[in-house]
Amino acid sequence: MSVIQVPEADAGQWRCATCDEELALRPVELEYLDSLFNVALPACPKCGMVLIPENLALGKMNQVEHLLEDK
Amino acid sequence: MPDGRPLWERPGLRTVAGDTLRPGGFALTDRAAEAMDMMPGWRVLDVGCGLGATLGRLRARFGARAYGVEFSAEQIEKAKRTGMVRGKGDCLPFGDGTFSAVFCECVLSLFADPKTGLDEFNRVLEAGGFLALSDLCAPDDDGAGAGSCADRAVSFARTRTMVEEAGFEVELVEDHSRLLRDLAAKLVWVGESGCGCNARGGLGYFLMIARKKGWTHV
Ligand SMILES: [Zn+2]
Repeated sequence: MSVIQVPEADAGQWRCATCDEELALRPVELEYLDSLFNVALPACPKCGMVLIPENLALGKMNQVEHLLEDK
Repeated sequence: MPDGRPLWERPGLRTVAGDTLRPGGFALTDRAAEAMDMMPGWRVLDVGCGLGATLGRLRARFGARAYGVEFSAEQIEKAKRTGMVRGKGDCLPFGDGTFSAVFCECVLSLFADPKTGLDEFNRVLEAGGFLALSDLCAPDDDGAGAGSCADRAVSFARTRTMVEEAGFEVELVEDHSRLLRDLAAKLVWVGESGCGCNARGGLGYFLMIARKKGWTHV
């Protein structure tokens, strides 16, 4: 499965609060209902914590959820 | 600025669907080839073959002698594959009874006249030859008009009737609507949310295997 790149996946000024590491883009599997998506998201290279930027959560992610629930 | 190109020529679709440009990628191609017991050496035609991904797949995996017809000169140029000719699906540049199987994946609903297309598929098939048809289907026949593939989709019942009237016997039907939903969702991810795949509620996706009549069991 190819990795989906989204422009919203920008770590901005965020760092991992626990490890104080800079976040880096990493392919993350997002599962919703029966569907699985491999999306590049900012994550902590040390502990693996994944950041979902707010505009992604409220935007595309929300749209995808609606789309999958719709039918 | 909105991208006026047809969806299948936009880069967003290439990213999510790979080179196949349709729901499910090769899953339904393989499924169909297996269902018809495709043997090495079969002459197979893919109508609306796009970049020819299905040709490559059927050659590599099933040993088929695969040919493709594509209307878009741009796609043929980009594909750089052998066995592709420019042509229209409702006027195929092949003689009667040439093929053991015809594939038409996510393309029939784009035909101006699907009935003529199905007649052509029937003509180029040998008796008992297989038609693998995958396409969008709509809950009703109201929207069947101009526009994107989604706007043009007709009901499954209507497609099935057209296939039977063109001289085929339907052997297998499967509902793969989830693959369509997944593709639509992936298009949202890459920002192609204006995609027609989801512009109309209740759309589904199916795979049908049918056989050209006029053969006898031995
Ligand atoms: Zn961390």
